[in-house]
Amino acid sequence: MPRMVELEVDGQTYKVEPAEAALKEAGKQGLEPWGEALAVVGSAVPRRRGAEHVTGQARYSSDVQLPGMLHARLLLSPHAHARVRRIDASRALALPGVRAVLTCLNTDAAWDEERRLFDHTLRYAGQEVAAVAAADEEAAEEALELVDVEYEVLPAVLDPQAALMADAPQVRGEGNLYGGKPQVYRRGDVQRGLASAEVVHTQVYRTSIQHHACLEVHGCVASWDAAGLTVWDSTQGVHLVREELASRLKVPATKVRVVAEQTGGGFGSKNGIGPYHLVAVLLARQTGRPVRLFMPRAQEFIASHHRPATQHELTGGVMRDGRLMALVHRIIGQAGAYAENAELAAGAYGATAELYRCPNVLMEAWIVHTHTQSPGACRGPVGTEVHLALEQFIDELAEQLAMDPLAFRVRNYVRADQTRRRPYSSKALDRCYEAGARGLGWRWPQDPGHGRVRRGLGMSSIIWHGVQSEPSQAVATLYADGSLQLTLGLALIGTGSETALVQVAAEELGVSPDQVSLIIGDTRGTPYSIDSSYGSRTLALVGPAVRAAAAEVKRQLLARVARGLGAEPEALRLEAGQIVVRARLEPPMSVAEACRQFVSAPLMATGRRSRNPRGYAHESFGAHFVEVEVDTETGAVRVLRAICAHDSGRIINRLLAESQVQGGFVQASGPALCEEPWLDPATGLQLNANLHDYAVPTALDVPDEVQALLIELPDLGNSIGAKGLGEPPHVGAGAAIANAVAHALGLRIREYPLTRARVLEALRSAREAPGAREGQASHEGI
Amino acid sequence: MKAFELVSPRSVGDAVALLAGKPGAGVLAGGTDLLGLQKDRVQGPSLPLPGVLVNLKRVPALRGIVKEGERIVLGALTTLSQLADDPLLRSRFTAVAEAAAEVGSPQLRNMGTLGGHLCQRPRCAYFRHRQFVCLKKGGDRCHAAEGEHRYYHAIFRGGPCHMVHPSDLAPALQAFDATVRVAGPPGERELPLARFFRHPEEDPLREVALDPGELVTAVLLPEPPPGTCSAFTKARVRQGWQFALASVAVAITLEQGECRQARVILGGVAPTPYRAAGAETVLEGVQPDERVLARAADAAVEAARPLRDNAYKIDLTRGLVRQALGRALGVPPGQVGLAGPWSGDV
Amino acid sequence: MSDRKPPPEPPLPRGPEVTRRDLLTGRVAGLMLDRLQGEEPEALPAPPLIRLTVNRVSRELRVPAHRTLAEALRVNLGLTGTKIGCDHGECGACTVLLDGLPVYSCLTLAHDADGRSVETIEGLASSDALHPLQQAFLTYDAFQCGFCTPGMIMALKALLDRRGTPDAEEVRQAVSGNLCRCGNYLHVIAAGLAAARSLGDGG
Ligand SMILES: Cc1cc2nc3c(=O)[nH]c(=O)nc-3n(C[C@H](O)[C@H](O)[C@H](O)COP(=O)(O)OP(=O)(O)OC[C@H]3O[C@@H](n4cnc5c(N)ncnc54)[C@H](O)[C@@H]3O)c2cc1C
Ligand code: FES
Ligand code: FES
Repeated sequence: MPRMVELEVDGQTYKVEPAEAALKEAGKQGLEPWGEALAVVGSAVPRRRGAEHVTGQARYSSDVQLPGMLHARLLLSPHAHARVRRIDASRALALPGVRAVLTCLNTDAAWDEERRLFDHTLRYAGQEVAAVAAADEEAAEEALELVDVEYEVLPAVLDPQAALMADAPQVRGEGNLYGGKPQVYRRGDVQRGLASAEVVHTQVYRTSIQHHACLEVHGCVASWDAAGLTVWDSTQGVHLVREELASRLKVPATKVRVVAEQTGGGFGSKNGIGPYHLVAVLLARQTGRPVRLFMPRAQEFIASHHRPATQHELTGGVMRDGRLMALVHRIIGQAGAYAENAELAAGAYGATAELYRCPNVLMEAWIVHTHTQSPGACRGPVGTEVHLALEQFIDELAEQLAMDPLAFRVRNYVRADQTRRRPYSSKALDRCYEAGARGLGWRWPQDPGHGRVRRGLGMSSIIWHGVQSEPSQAVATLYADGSLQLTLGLALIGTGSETALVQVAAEELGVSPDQVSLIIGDTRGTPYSIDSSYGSRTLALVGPAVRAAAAEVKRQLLARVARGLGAEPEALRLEAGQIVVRARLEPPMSVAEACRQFVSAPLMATGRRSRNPRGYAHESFGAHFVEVEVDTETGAVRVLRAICAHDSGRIINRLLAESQVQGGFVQASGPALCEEPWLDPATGLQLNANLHDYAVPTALDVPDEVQALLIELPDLGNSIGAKGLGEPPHVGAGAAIANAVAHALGLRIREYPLTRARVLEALRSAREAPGAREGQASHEGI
Repeated sequence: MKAFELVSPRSVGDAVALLAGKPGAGVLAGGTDLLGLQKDRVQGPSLPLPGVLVNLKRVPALRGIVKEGERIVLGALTTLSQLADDPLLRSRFTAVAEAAAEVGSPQLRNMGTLGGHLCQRPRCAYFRHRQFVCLKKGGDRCHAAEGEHRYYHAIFRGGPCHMVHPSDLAPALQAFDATVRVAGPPGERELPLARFFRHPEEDPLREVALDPGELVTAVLLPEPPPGTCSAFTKARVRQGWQFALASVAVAITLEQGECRQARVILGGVAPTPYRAAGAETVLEGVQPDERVLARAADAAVEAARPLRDNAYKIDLTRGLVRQALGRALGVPPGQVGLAGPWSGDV
Repeated sequence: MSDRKPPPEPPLPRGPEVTRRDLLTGRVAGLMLDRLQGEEPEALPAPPLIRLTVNRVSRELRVPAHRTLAEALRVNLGLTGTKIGCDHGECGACTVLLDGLPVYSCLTLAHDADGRSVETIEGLASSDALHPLQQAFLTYDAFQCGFCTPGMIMALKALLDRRGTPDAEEVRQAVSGNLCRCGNYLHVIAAGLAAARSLGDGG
């Protein structure tokens, strides 16, 4: 049992384990938290393997071409709900170049407990109906045209509200509410809380579907040989894909190799396998040829799943002095047709329960089945939607009290996690507020101006789950010439984690990052560093393992040097890249020199991540501040500036961290302002499954300034002091933009994205509302 | 992409002959629209996919911008970049150059040609989606009427098909009274651009008045009267690289501060470029000031009959008209002076 | 590991042509075998030869008329630096220079490059040095996943070839036809400006 000590936070006493103890006990490497003066960590080391990207040499799985490789395509259901009455693939098979056609007639393979890979009953538009493999893309595409399918179209329900009606078509035959009841989080007594509040306010918000729209589509190349199966995959995690393939195919994991040298974007959509993996693998097995199956862009919108559309009803009770007394948050999320991923539709947890001090909270997540594709993890899943609603509602509560929304947030600041009753391992949200407000020039009240173009400022808080205690391994090998090789079982997905991990190793060993090379992106020969890079956890999860591995080879090296010099190992220290021997006159020696002199066979170590110290909650925090401009005549919203303050613990690489923040902000500005699917109301078919009408932000849509303010408070939770930064910038951006728009217009649009259409419609109803005075440029009267 | 045979004539005559000899053949210019349709297999009972494409890119006579008497001749193969960058267009036909510069992206402008641009097919998502057999493909109804129609559908003169013509250039060219020159088996003919576009009431299958075997060879612009200034404005879903939700081209001829002739042509709001005659009437014969512009903008949208979900386009179009007029008049080419009160907020 | 078995399905009325038994008994397998030995599946007459210059090297190709330049570069010439993100002129990942102008190679027919010069990302660096744009992309971290990078760089290369010292707005416009889903546009613009400066300095 670890030694626990008492910690007082906000007048409450908690029992926690001192962080240093956890590091030492579990790591056994005697790691101390790093101090202030670090040589490599914190510096802007250029992205590892960036040269491959800028010269076109980077090899993505979609670039893989193998001799004899066939090309596969999928036929997807055009109906939201249908039965396959008849399939005739003979004309497709007769086409020159076509090697195989899979349908529900010849393929029994299961996808999961609920359905076959090619099912007879189709429950969403886009479900797999058939697949072909042919000598080239053109022939595969032509063959699809010749697969003749007769469907019996069945009644479908596309809208969650409609699906909850008694007479709605049943999606899975057990009621359309997933689990039969809402998921609930409860703290205190909201009835009492609301009754005691001086002001009670309710609002409803709607968020739209967001697609990942990775620039590299989903897909893989599958090939069988005597050694087993090799899959080149566009993925966020080679090990997870291997595990899932092995389990689905019932072959030993050792017979499956998954390679992903580079991945062209994932954002949550490329964790684990999709039906297309199995299709490629089966086609490869059947034809005895390598098979390439990458989605056409239109199908990519299906293959990646999506962030679901949600509806939020929020009720809050506050005192006139700004104290939050109660929060009720009901979420309706759309789960799609299967249980798969249903819990990504909505959840009764997160920001509403945690961000602000509030004694009484009730969250309900109603997860509803419809005849639609199931949702998937999309950068900041569930949390992004919750922030969009909650952080606007918080602004509206402040408005009810005529209070500065920032001051209202500060008024309800909390230093411990109220849901798990633990102190945070670190929390610098207050410093984020301060820095962000200063950076933007936050002022209250605001003056949006009177002309055609109005300006507004808006802000939003951010909380995002940190890394819990999960195992991770990394292997470090130190060669006699002083070069260090890191072997890591993870994929390169563009977040830059691999570069930061190189810095961690270089720091620990006292070498330059140039001396560190990487083996990565392949299950063969790599340790299980992570299942897949999701949840903003790669760095804070794998980093400590890397540090442990580097520390262990350092220990081995120092032992050799000590033996060689006839000194006590304890007398040796590695400082600023130099080995010095206490109380002796030997000149300091670099690691490379030491290796040359004292290392013959390479030194190797596997590092393991130690568990987190007990008793803490681990979270990343942040606050976004933006300024927008709205043209009231044409409804155009432009973000002028964004100041993004983040508490993500120690920043290992400032340059790459800035890219993460910028990218997250820009990506989130899409669904806040312009990005949404166009769905045909009658069939549920997506009409804009392309990268043009599905309007992701372009270079002309980004503000001139997206400033990342990285508040560095090294976290106690792990030996490198880092917390996650991948998702937090995406989580808070939308609400900050929406708040700024509301302040610019003096009215609030509670449905996203804030397109010109919505802005102009809102302005018109405000104009036409009874009581609106002509020409008045106040907050109500546009 | 649906396979095809490619034939590359070297002259307009050969191209016309090839087209006449191969019924159902398509005309390929920059390919930016056509190849997309071919890839998506946009087809239907009355819309076969071409099996042969007559490639115009090797016909030199179709390229370039030249003066022919009092008219400027824009060859059908002139790219949108060339139009956007042409000094003569920029100074004398500002709205045309501005519109060309607003089409798509730099790459698309380097590829897309004037002829192809005017003959591009609609962007209605139902038309482009293979699952819907709409009026334009020989089906029996317009799915947009009751379906999703917030963006690329009409608020003026819609029906039976509610498409909008997607071209940015067309309103600008029409604001300068452009003429289209067409070559076909019987020879050459010219027709005003305004009559080149067909309303779905006349023929839902085609947007332009080309007979089988005919090609656009050029667009001709008459010299605008002295004192003419013009501008083009456009609104998209996002800021970058997209079709117009609405666009406006205005050309105003001023004489001693008074508007002698006005052209206000709207794009993206009707099945063909839409002439806002009401706005022109408001402007003509008066000294344009802020109030006049506002009245003209109101008049421009007077006849709008939106669908269920696209009424916002009325406000949008009104705003764009006012802004286009303001821009045209606020930065007048030459020394045309302005009378009247201006806040500068245009 | 759970035994993943889907619920039983009622039997499906079967299509007359290809049945599961046919597949198993090799009627279809026979067809498949024939095809394995068959040649390229082109029903159209053998396509004519085209000659193009790719990165200053003259190349000859025989591809069907409907093969795009993007596919021809990637599949026929093995130049996979040019990416395909959408295949519809909507993302810019396939941007190459055709006679010096940036175009989308996914909407360009390989046959339309006959007799013309094509520059791709692979042709940018000289044997011993990166192009200033490539260097600036590294320095400014102008990408994350890197999938848009070849297209971005080619679009900017065209700008810098044409205009020595562009301003930020021109750089922004030059990449306005290239999507970066990782959202690194501001770093791309910074890199473009820096490369222009270093080219201006004669470096
Ligand atoms: C992603 C994307 C974004 C776009 N954005 C915009 C935009 O913002 N605004 C806008 O206005 N347009 C936009 N466009 C459309 C673009 O302007 C047209 O695709 C382009 O101008 C067509 O020219 P082209 O030479 O490539 O034509 P092609 O694709 O070769 O041909 C288009 C059509 O015209 C016919 N055709 C071509 N030349 C002739 C001729 N000389 N005579 C008779 N028929 C002919 C063809 O048969 C075909 O039907 C966009 C297109 C894409 C793909
Ligand atoms: S692949 Fe050509 S533009 Fe997207
Ligand atoms: S770096 Fe990933 S798309 Fe641009």
